[in-house]
Amino acid sequence: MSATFTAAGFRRGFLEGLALLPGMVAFGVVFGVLAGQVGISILGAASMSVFVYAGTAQLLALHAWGAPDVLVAVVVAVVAMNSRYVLFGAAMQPWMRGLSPWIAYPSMFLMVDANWATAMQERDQGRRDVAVFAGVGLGCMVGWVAGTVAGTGFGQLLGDTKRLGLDFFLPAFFLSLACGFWKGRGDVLPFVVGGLVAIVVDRFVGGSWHVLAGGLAGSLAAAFAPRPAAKAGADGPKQGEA
Amino acid sequence: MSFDPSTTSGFVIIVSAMAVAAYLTRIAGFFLMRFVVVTPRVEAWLKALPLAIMGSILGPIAAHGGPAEYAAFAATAAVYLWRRSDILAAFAGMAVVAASRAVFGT
Repeated sequence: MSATFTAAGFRRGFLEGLALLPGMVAFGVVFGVLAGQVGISILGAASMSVFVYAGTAQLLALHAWGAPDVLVAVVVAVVAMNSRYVLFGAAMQPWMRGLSPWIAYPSMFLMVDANWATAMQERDQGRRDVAVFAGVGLGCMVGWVAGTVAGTGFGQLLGDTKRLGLDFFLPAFFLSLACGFWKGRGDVLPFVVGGLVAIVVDRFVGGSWHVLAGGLAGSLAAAFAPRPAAKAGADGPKQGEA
Repeated sequence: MSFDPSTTSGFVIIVSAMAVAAYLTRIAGFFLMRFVVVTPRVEAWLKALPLAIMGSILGPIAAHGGPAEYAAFAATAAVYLWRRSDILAAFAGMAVVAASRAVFGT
């Protein structure tokens, strides 16, 4: 059976995506407020949220807004933040096999953390309607853009955002994601090596390079370390396939 | 060449570059999986990448941070483990940072 793309699935996904509205709006407001502070207009912030559609990448890009190498810095920020989507996409490919590229590639534009998780759940339940994935992605975008507009528009009313802890939203969000990804002791190595390398690069190089440097160093360290997988069944049957 | 994001043309160029980069990250893995042979080492690398990236984001912040940030990190992890919601946990961390800055100053 190959993957399908149905109107009913799209509707179901879109409604599921709208259910995530409060969280997406709140995240959007955080971005909108901070975007307004570096002088981005409502239309500018909204168009960035539609076309880039990557909250963490957009937040990090704002840090580089005044820098002389802003073009390089924002692209590095996007690639570093979104590099997890490369992995998400790799995991999606077998599930979407059989779907026309004309539907598959536009659908991938809508991939965020939430609908990737949906897709993996659908896969585990034996369903292959990619429209559900696309629908959740579009539903999430509604809240994200609405929040962006509200945050940029009314952000000035909030005053000093550091007092409200807005600068801490992104680190806290990533710590939560890390908790979600955490599977066991094998995860200590990439996390700690990435953190330490990033601290050194941040101190001596600056910019957003510490994310890329730490990410590569930590993941490669984990890939080339002797695997602690002898721990019986920790990684399931995959070990046997090697 | 330098780009000024406060001009319309500079802004459009910068957002376009971000949009292209973001879309490429979304299709790269999907596209490449047709050609890549996923050896156990490649799989181990792919699996470790998300946590390595999160460690590298959090490391410098922890290094620059003080008691307010450490308390907030602890609150974030606790709320995540309790409710399993990343956005809720992030807001909890934000609230703790704001509260401790209000009490102890920044």
